[in-house]
Amino acid sequence: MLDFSLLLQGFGTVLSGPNLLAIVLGSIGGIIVGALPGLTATMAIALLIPFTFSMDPTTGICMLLAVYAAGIYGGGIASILIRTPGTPAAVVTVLDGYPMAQKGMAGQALGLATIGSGTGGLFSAICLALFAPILAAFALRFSAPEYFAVAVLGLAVTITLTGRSPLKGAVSASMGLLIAMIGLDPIGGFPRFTFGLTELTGGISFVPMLIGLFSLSEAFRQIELIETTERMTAKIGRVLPTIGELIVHRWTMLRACVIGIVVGIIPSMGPETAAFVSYSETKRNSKEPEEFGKGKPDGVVAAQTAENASTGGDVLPMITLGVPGDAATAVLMGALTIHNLEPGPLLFRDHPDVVHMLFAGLIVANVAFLVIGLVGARQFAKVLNLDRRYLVPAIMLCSLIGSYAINNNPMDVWVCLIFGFIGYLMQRYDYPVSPIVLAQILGAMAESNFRRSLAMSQGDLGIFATRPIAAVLLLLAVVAAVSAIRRQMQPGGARP
Amino acid sequence: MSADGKSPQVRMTIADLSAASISLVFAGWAFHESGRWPAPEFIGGPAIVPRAVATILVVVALALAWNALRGRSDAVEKPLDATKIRRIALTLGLTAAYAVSLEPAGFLPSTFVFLVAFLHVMGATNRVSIVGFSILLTAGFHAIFDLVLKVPLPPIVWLS
Amino acid sequence: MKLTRRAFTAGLAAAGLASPAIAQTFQRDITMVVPWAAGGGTDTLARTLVKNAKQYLGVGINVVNRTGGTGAVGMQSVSAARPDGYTIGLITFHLSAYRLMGLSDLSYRDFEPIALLNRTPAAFSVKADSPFKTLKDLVDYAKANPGVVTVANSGAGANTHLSAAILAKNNGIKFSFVPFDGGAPARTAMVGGHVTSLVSGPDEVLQYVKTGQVRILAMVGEQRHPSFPDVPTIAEAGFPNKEIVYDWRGIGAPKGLPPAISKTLSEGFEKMAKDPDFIALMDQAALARVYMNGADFTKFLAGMETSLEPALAEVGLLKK
Repeated sequence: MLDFSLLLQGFGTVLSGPNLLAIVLGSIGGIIVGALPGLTATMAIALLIPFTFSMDPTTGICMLLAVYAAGIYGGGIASILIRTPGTPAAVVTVLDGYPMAQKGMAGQALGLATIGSGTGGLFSAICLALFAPILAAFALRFSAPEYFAVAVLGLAVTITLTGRSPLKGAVSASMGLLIAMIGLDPIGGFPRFTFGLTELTGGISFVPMLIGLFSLSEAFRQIELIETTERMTAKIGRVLPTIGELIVHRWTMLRACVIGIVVGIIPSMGPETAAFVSYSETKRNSKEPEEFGKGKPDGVVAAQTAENASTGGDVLPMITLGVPGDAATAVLMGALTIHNLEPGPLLFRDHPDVVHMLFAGLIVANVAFLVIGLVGARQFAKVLNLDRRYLVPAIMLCSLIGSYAINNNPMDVWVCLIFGFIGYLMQRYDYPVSPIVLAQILGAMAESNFRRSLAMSQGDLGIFATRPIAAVLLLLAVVAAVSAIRRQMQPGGARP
Repeated sequence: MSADGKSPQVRMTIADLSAASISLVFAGWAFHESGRWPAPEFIGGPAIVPRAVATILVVVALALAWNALRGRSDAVEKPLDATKIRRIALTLGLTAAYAVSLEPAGFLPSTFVFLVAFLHVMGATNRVSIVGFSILLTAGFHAIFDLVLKVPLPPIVWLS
Repeated sequence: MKLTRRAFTAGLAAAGLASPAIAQTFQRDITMVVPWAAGGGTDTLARTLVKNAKQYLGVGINVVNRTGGTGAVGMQSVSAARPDGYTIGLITFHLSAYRLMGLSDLSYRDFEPIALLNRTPAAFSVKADSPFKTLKDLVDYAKANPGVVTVANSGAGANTHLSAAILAKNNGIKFSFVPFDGGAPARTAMVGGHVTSLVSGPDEVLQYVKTGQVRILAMVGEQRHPSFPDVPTIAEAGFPNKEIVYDWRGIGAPKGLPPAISKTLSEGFEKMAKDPDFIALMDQAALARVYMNGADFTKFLAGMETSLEPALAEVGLLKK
């Protein structure tokens, strides 16, 4: 259980000179890397690991935690300002953040995004510090059938993200599911849909595809519209939200916090899924669901808060069980191991001081990027004043080189380019792009866990009914899907 | 009305029909391919999920085509004129050429040439700022990746 | 870029950072391709190994993660690189399996093996409160109840899966294999009580054995594992087998390396493998340190393919 004196001692360590400096530098670096399309938080942590060799382990880890938290937040900045999500997680922030900036509310969007991210991150870091062992026990009760049920529930609640035409959304999602199946079969281990190409046995690289679908496609759209986009007069507006504004969003924030941490705890579900689920739940509970996607502040808050709320959840199984919650925490785990602090139950038993230092570090990191983000928002927004004729080539280059550098694989430049053009055509003809991404994350998870469950039960489908958590989740999924479809059928709910 | 004289409605119908046909081709291919995979011992082999997805894809593609043929496609498409098509095609060609040249030519020269050409396509006219911006961006990426982060971008092999 | 880096290294040398005592075979830093993602177990091993490379080779080694195609993309790029010693790669178990599984034509024949660093056997383990006290208990139960025993492993075709399949085949029993995406989630399923047993690398369960949550029944391998002296080998547990499938990690260079460079690299890596930092990491993580030079490593790799063939055939993954 929580040991307050150890936590206080942890704060003492984290707030001392070099460690605090490491956190501030890490936050600034994380925000920049997160905001640049093509550079993700995961990559930033991986690339920083060698630098931490020469540092004291505590300082190095403080820096990496700060890069992690700030990197997830920073992705939202580019989403809001130039419609190119800096990190995969920020895909959802685009939906309402960019329309807000278009309406001259860039400042407000950035302010809310920052406050949302900070609140979500702090909430989950504090939950982590308070309840880590309890939540770890909870995570152990989940296995393949439950993961399958969670993935199905995720797919069901996010049906609302399909845009104006559910049919087009379904086409996108199904195509995404087929793409997700390229590569080695997750259970049997032999190649599917690979055309006999060795490069495809690992599947299509996810991050380059995502950069293509979102960043590059937007670059293409800008190229099409270059004469018609007038030089934007820098109407940024007020950044710091008022107290009243925050009170309006309290339920959205609370919901996003809970969704974020729960999704985070589940392995292989990270900030992207958290943001998707939180956004669609907020939209579903809203009195004006039709306003979403047109620049509704609620949408930005829901997405950003959940993204950062998932960080604590992702770190939790990594520290307690040695199972990383997502790609970024997998890299963090490697960093800890290199510094002779391999995460797992032994770390808790033998180094409780280190564990509490990690908790304190994560809490301080969240405060750090919150402050830096609010101070810097006005500077970031200046990107709006840049000449699009120069900005678009820069984004294009960022996307292509980022795709290359993530795996150092020249094939990935092509993946980015091809999906960039596909994404451009899809958006042009009103086919939503997000379902492809969701299908990749949730579809792959649903398939492997469905078949893994059947391997556990020797082919008995009853395993999904007899395990109470799985059964309840599947039931919820059915309810969510039915209610979503019924709403679409209602007169006025769907388009004529 | 767009360049080829078709109404947005007609173009959207064509787009929907194309999407439906592409989907059907993909679904058919998925069925064909999965037929050659080993049969499972019990329910839950490698083919079950791809086939289920392909079936859904066939259903939604047919529904999409049916909708389109009844003239119910959304008419929201913004018109494309010849200049725009030319610019998009040029960008696509330029980017493909860049992807091809990246490894053999090396990051520095290919990126510089790519940026100069791209800025030109984008309608930038001031030569000094085109060249200056290209040099600045290329050098910036080189500095971040090669020097700071130690991620080697493709080197200039033919020089060494 | 190469010019820049050369200038950079020269600058370092001028600043007195490069060790002057070592005869300079290399003028600039070496690139080591790791075919797996940054932060993973293999990457951690690689980065710790080359941390002090400058001391032993006179130049540093930069780790580059080139992933994709289940490791084949990165290994392929090493085998196709110019054999000048400036590009080397970490090669792993998968290299033994690509050709046999029909995934790629790549095999150890495309490399000049430099050093084997680690060879991990598979360990059978159960949760501490499991009724199975020995491997014999588990096998007897599986014999009486075919297909009921579920065995979690780190992925289809992995050494863990194949080791368990060989055990099943030799003793005429049937396990239900539950493959996971890596060792950590497989272990979590076993610790959570969702599967009967786990077959994994001993390093994967080390922490849980120490906290008393998991019991290792037996380990594949000719001798007992130095980090687990109390755990019997599979032969001692009563199930001898000839075909031992190891997970392994080593260093390879492109084929056709000049002998002088090959020698420098071999000597350098032999010293790096004895570096105290590397030893500490390997021992702490219970990764068995097994050093072999190029010639022995080549022999080991040839033997590996011979063992793998029947094992892959058994699980239906052999492509012929």
